[in-house]
Amino acid sequence: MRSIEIKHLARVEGHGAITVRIEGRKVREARFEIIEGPRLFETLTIGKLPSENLSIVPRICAICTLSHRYASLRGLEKCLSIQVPEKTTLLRELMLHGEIVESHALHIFLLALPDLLGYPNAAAMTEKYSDYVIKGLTLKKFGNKVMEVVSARATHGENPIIGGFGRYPTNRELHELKDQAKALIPHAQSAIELLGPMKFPAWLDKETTFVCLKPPTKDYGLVGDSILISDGREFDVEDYRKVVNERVVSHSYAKRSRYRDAPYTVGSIARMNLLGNRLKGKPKDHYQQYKNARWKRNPMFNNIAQAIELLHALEKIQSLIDRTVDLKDPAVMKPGRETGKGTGAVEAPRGTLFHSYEVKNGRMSKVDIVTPTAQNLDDIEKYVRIAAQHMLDKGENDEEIGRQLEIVARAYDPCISCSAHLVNIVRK
Amino acid sequence: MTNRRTAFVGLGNRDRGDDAAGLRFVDDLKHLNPNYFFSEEQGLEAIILEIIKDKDVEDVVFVDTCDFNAKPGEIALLRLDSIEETVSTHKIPLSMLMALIQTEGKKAYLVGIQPESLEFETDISETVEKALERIEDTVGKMLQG
Repeated sequence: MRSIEIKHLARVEGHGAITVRIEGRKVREARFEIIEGPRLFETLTIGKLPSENLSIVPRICAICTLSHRYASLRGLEKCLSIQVPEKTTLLRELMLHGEIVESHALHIFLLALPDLLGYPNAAAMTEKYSDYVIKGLTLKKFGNKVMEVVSARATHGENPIIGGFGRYPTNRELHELKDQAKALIPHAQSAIELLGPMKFPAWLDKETTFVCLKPPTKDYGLVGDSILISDGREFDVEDYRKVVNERVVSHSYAKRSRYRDAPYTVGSIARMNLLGNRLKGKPKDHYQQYKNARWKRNPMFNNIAQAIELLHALEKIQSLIDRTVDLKDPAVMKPGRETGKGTGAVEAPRGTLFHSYEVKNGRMSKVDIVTPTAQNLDDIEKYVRIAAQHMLDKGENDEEIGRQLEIVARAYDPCISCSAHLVNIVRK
Repeated sequence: MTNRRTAFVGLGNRDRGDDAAGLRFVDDLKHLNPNYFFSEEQGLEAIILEIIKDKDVEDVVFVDTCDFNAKPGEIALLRLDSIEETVSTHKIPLSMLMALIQTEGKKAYLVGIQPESLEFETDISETVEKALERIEDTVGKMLQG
């Protein structure tokens, strides 16, 4: 038996590796290994105050920091029986859409584009496509600015607090963001025009299941208390364990998820497949222009899904600001109780993120966090295996096989720091 | 490299031992030319966008700890073709940023220091401190003419 090893997966967040074991002409095993150690956040926050939990858990990641913070707020406010007013909700959605812009711009323009344009690495692509690199940096800078204005820092902002915000952005700050969002629409459009027509070979196609949150309104949204599955089922967010069914594997610090004993996908492509017909305006036009049945079978289409979401996010930022500026700054809402449980969920850039908590007498007593990348890992391995077998059948050399496997894994935009979840060790 | 036309960008993480070296470099020397010393903590995309627009900047030097299979404390001046894509500024490939800078008509270099330790919540090691002193001495003399 021989192995193909990609020891360090490039152009992803965090440290991951891929190993494929081959016997003769058959792939016997494909593994996506998370080599970042266990993060232990769910143990760290036990016994802490909810406000401390809120500051600790966003440190799981520096890219999806506000997704973690928002999911945590939703979970904690359920535990403590807090209902926040409209302006608070709108601003939290604004910061989440800022994170979508920042994260998707990074992935599309700076991490995935070399793969999609057929370049061996990012530097080789840059010579001919430097304008796209500049667009990506500009969009990323704007996404950071949105997060900075709302949460006080581009990374790990402390301004969103239980019950509200420490400080509300001024109307002047919001209007500036709105103008900048509008000016960046052509950048997002250029990504769609580049990625939309791209063709991907059918050999990677295989049906899978998609999962995302169902927004409470009829809009395309990132927040909800209901989990939508592509098999037609829906679950209340408190029943998330019936969807994620986590388990431990020996070759990775990240737990794995399976729905009805099969892998599934979360993220932009899941949201597009399940909610795409809720889009409006130009994003809807592009969705209708490019959507096809293979979006349900091939993870490479996650890239065009992200590009359409990027455009949607820039438009949504403007409409959220329009709704926010006329509202007065509300007071911070106080807890209604000290003991309770609740699950908060948001659609982070990479997919559905769950923060489930129990609070007893004002202290954290149970914490469970399930991240999007951890949920995707089984599906990533499935498609990596398909890719490896196909390349082997074609007679490709190990270097080319490895290159293709990296392209497949990168299409998911994995966030490895998030996925290195707590592993429980049971001694027998 | 000449003094006024070189931008320095310190990369790293203050919480991880020797990984703070690039940031310390900027802390220690930015008073010599404040508009041309940048710390990754300011936001790398904003820094790069500013640098490529600045017609006065001819050279860009990144300073960071990196693994080039050397003894701890050894220093290397690296060009783009020596850098693997796995070297990332925690997200954006450094090779892409260097390629972009070169595409915009400037030169890009990485001053790499082989680290001794990247443990969390530790200070910069004595070995890397000495390497940093050598780099700062050289750059300081260059800037002061």
